[in-house]
Amino acid sequence: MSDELPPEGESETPPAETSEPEAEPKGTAILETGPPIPPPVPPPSRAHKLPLTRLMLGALFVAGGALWLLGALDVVDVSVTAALSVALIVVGLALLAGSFTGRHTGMITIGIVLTAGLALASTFDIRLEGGIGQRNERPASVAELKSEYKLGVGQLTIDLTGIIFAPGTTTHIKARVGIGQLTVHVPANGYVFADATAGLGEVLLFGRQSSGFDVELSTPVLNGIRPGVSGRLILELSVGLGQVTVDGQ
Amino acid sequence: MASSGVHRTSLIAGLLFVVLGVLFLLDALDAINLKGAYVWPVALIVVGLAVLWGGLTASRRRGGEP
Repeated sequence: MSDELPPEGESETPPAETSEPEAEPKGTAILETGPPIPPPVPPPSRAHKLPLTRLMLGALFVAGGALWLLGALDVVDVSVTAALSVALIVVGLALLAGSFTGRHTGMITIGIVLTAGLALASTFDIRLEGGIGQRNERPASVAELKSEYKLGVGQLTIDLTGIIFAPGTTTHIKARVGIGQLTVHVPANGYVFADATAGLGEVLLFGRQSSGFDVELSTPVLNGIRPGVSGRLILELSVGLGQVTVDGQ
Repeated sequence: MASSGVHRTSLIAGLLFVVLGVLFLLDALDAINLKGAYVWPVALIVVGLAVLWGGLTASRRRGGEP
């Protein structure tokens, strides 16, 4: 951390010779020419240079903890990637302001770490929003359905087998898990369109399987073709890192 | 690396972080779609430019030809 204040300097100057040299014996003239005494070193400057790295790190921890707490209390729903992006902007602005006071290696390191994390999250489309843990959703009717389900990290299971989709209707559901597993059970005779993606992982769609980087599977044909019997269900499912499974039960 | 009271490395890093932060924020808000296929090549280009810049400035400091 180069912006920390240097330790207090030990810059005591050697005591000046104040005593008079002893009188030389008469008849002898000795001229002593010793090495010149170096000028006293001034103490290191105690200018008001703030430890920007420590202040920034502390502020980021406090803000991150506060957002996490508010999210846990369901006061706000904060996307971790958005919060980290804002943190990177703040670090950049602080560096711009601090560039007038010298090098700030620590803050540059923080910025690099944030950038690397965000680049990875962007690469695998990891959206860390919606909390952490295991969640089971089992809506009993169309009215209880949400248009979007989100989980940051963990396992999300959506069981739609108890719902009767009225003929002639179209229901659109989005579900996203940042890191973990997303499982959707649909009625066996459902009229289902599904599009499932995984940034890195596996997609299992009605028995079809694909895995690797940037995986996508969709159902171009109807699952259990009975358009006259059931309403249409459109599923948009994604996982950043993990597995998506859709099956009919 | 300081010139006329401004530390150049901090200045460039700060600008870069602000730009990247804005891009990542827009991506998180679904305003744009940053794809991994673009992110890493651009990162490699930026790192390469930084290395070139560092090499050139070091060479100039030593007074030699780049």
